[in-house]
Amino acid sequence: MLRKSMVAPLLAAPLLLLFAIFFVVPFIEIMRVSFAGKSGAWAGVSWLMSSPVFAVVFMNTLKLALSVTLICLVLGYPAACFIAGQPASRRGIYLALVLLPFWTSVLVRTYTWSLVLGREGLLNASLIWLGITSEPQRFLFTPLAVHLGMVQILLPVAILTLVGVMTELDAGLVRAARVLGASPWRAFWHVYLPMTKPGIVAAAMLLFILSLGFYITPALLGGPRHRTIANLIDLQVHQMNDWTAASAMALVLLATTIAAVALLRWLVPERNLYGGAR
Amino acid sequence: MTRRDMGRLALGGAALTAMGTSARAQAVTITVNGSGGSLAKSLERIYEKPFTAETGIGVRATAPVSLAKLKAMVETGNMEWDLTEMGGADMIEAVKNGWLTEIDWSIVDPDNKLPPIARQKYGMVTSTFSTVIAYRTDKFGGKAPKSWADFWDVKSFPGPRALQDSPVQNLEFALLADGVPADKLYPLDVERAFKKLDQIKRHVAAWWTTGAQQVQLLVDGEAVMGTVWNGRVPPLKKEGKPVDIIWNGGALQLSYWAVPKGAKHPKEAMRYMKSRLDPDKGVQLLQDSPYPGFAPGLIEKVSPDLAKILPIHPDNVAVQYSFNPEYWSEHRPKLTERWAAWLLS
Repeated sequence: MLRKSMVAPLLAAPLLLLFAIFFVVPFIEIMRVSFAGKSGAWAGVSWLMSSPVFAVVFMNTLKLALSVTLICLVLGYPAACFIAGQPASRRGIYLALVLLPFWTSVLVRTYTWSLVLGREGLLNASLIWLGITSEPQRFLFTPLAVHLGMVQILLPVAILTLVGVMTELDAGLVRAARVLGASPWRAFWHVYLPMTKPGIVAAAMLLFILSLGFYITPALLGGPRHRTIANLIDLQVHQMNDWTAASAMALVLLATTIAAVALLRWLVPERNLYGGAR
Repeated sequence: MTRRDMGRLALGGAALTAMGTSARAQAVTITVNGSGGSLAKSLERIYEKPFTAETGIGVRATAPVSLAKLKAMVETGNMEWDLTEMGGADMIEAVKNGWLTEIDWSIVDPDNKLPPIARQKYGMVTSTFSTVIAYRTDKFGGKAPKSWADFWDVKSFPGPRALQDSPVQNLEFALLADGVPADKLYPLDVERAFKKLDQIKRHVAAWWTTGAQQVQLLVDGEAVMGTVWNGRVPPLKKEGKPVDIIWNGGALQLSYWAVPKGAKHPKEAMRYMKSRLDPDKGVQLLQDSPYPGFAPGLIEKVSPDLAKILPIHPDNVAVQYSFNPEYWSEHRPKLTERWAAWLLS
């Protein structure tokens, strides 16, 4: 007979095993490779310090992740408010509309953007037809294309996270503020927005971490002039044949992720970021 | 599910396993790694199926060609391939690192019919190919670019360009555009090359990484001129697409077949390599893919029309430069990093 105290560890065992095999073991290997270069234990680190490429790409990746996160939050918040404000029966339909693109392959969505944004694509054809421009404009392989692609892919993550928090809120508090004479704007700013803060922070954290590791969208819509860290790791492995540098970069990416999580936890220490606003 | 069902399942499973092992004991299947695409289909029809019919050795094709994968498989001792295609600079790198098995020429070419250039210690040259300029014939009002200087001339030939995302060959192309004679390219004047590349950078709309992308960019109109591997364009012309290539200033290169270290069936792989020496099969392959190898008697069997679109036709050889894989094997890591930095600036 199973004792009650054993149930939880047993239930967690498959996940832990999976995690050990597919994360911990490769991670240890990456640690080993990044400090076992042909030219000494610190070869990877000294490459990071001296490489003109790494510094620029790292900053570009941070900037990209930040701006994509902000855009997703700004676009996603009103949409999430709207969905959370619907009666439960209709909420499902709106959530399905958000989930539909979310379930479509990232690769397919990225390719579709390149069809829309290309020189002879939908956007340029429309602009020329409308007489707004006479020559096709360059949209593909620009920062604009990368942002569009990433925001479209990550927006559902923002909306779903925010809706999760917003539907848990006590709507009575906003009503109370209104009854007590607050304007709609004041009720929103002083009552509703603060209550959704944990949702905003959780969404920001998820979006930022996901954006940091983006690979295929920047590669296809941005090209090598808009490389992210993930693309640079690929270049190191496949073109420069330097796995030490690649592993060192992977560690930097992981450290940045951990730092981002720590920072956000520090910003909202009083709430459980994963469980919504209970 | 009842207990009896379970028993049946277990019995069935055991029978299946037994069948599997006996089948495996009879026949060996070799894994041949290549560049995939339409070429893989031609190879299957012309070489793999007849080889299996003749010898009973199965052939499984995988893709793509990747030095990083080879390195990973050798270092982890988990070699999936018995034979792999390889480019010139990768070949040198792999030999230097000891990732390949010596070819037993008594199996592959017992009568010593291959020319020495194709018979190397760790690999056999299977084909020759060229990186050349391709352009849209409908975009320049009937004019046709003729050289790398024209590629750089955005006034006479306006429109976006496409180049590979790699310094390899692009530095050579820049130097050719700048007037360096084809036989004086190496060692490369790197400073001069990057300076010349500065002039074209903002006109390059796309930096390709795969063969499929090369032609897609031209067909979609994303670029009006770009670099391609010579074999990618004839099929497009057959479909009536307005594209053509220029041999002038092309980079003539060799492609190899090599047996990785730790391959499970090296002998069988080498027997398969031998089938590449058959000139009749070689001609069939050339109909699909104009990348001729050095199979003895092959060129004599090629029709004059087909010969004209081969990279080793004397007229085409005369205007190309011969790519130097030794130079790139040595300088690729450093120059690739500089290239990546240059692209960001």
